[in-house]
Amino acid sequence: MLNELTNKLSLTLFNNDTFKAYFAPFSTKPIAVVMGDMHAARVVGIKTESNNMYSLTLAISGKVNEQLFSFKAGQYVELQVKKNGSYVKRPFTISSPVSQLQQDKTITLTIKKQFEGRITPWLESAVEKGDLFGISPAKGDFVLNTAVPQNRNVPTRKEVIFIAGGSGITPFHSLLLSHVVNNPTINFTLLYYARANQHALRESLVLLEVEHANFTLTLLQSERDGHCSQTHIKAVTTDLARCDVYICGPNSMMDSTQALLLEMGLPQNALYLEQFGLASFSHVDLNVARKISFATTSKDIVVKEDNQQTLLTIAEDNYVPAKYGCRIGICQECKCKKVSGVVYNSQTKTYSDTGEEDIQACISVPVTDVVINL
Amino acid sequence: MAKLNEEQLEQLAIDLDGVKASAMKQVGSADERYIKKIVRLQRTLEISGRICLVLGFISLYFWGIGVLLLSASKILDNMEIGHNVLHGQYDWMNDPTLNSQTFEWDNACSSESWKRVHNYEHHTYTNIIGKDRDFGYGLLRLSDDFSWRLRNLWQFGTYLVLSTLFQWGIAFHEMAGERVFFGKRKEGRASHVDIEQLKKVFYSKSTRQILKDYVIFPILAGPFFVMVLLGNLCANLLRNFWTSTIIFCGHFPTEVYTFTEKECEDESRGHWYYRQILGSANLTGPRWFHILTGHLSCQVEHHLFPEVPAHRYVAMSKEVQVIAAKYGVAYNTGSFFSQYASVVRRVIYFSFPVGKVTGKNAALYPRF
Repeated sequence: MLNELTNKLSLTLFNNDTFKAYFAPFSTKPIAVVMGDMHAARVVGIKTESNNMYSLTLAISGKVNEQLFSFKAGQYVELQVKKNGSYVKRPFTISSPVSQLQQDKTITLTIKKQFEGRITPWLESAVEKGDLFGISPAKGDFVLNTAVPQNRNVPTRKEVIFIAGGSGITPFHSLLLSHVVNNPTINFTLLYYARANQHALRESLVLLEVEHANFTLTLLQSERDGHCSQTHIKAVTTDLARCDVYICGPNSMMDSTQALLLEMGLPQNALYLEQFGLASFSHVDLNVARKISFATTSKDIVVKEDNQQTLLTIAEDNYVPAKYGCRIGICQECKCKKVSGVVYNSQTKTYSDTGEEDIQACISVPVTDVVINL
Repeated sequence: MAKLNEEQLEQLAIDLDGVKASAMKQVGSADERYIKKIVRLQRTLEISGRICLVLGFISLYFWGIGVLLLSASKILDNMEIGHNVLHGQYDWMNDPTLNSQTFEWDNACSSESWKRVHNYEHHTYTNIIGKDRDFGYGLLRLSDDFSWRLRNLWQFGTYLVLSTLFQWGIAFHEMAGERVFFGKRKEGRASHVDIEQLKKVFYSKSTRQILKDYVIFPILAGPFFVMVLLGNLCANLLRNFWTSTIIFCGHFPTEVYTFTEKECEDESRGHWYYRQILGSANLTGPRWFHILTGHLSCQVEHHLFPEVPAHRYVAMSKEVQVIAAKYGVAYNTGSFFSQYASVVRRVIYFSFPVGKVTGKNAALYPRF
């Protein structure tokens, strides 16, 4: 109530929604931190994990709407960084255990360099200890289900199998370090597929296995062992029916592993998947069907391979209300927020970034699946 | 003037796209630092201006300085910050306080309404008589495209009144065009907003603006109510005169072209660029002058590249002038005083019942 009143006063006196917004230009903090949408996170550690992964350890100090930062193992946060004057948000999984946050108020993000991406390769070289970023509250539901299912004929011990591919290891690292100690009645198994000598976070996983009887680590080399197979699964469990299986990795690996497990008799509701990250842009096939998700109207439209129409036309053809003006990219009336996905600007003949940004719908052609606030 | 042929227009578009692309390539941290610096300056001017107004009880000098500081703050807010942010020049920063979709300015006109009329109508259909209502604002006869009426006789007076109340003229512009309160709606006119919405936004924004400058801030000053109220009034008036004058100088000096709808049917990008150069005029001056005009002193470049951060226009204008000269396209530029004198000349010239402009005057008031 009081808040509403001060905001109304701020709008009347200074034409800014909040007094914070009016004074924001005087602050050197990330804008989302100043506006109270994100927590402030200061870099306290940078570590190279492998030739394509690195970890940032962040000390979290700020509050978002008076909420202290907390997370469940397996969740991710959005990190807001400033590159060349522009604020960019990217989601990264928390790889550290919950206990680390409780002990020293830090979390660790383990980041894979998308070599064609604009942020992840740049960030490693640009970041310095002491830098201040914004991080969102933790998001995602790839968390451990500790409940023993009633309908399945399960003995007292529950088995959990984690299957990680490449950089998909990050949520599992946090899940294992957080839960192995606290859930001695659950048996954890990790099947970790990566190229030889490219298993990130390996040392701490090995240590965990040595110290805890309820955790079994299986490091697999993709060149030698191939994708996840019946043999790999049978080697770690004799009874798939009493397992919960969690998978995170490249899309192709997730698809084939999911199909394999269902075929082997795992119930669908015992399967947990984390789709992560967008295809890096150089690998985008321009002639594919694309899903356009209109977030405001809650409408999903699939456009065909040969559809080269602009987002404005696609919206109008599907009765999605959209503002427009000149329709030739001059007036900005059709500007709207793209949440994710790549669009082609037919006027500047350039491709957009993958993350959240403002685009002109009248000259933007979707290239990948796109989520847009219309 | 020999008109450009299709081939030349195509080449013109390539050249100007090149100027834009090379400017956009440089856009980044420097632009962020610049606009943040200007916003900080504006905030500092506003706060110190409002304090000085209250200190007017010590000495009237404080009051006078307060008026100047506050009007400078309002000018920066409207011109270099508001106008340019609302064009989307800083949207790439992903800063919600400087985003065209959310920004609101210290002006009676709501930014939503202004974007529709200014960004869409004016910038798309610049100087096309019948489509760009900014040419004369429906009040003034500024070319022989319009037939003379008795009220044009005193249009210089009308112009001075418009200048004085400029923010209210702008606020009312869209409603006047939609014939909200009087007159008949133009047949076949497709409106982008419904009338009730238009009225609601107009009343809520203008009420807030009146409350702010003439009720709340004066009340906060307690016994110095009247002093603060008068100071705010003067600051608003000074801002109105300044913005009106600069905008008239960018659009209505002599030698600025007007176009007919027919001439611009299915126009190419090159032709659009061509029309933007012919339909606008620049002002020369020192850096502080460019900043206070929101770089609308470079009206030609602004019309060519409305989404390029405006502080780059001065540098870009050199390249644009070279390109204009290459194709023999008239590039209208001059000092503030000479351009303003020619604006006055136009307003007065068309207040008399002259018919079609001929002879040596045809060069002063050219039609495409």
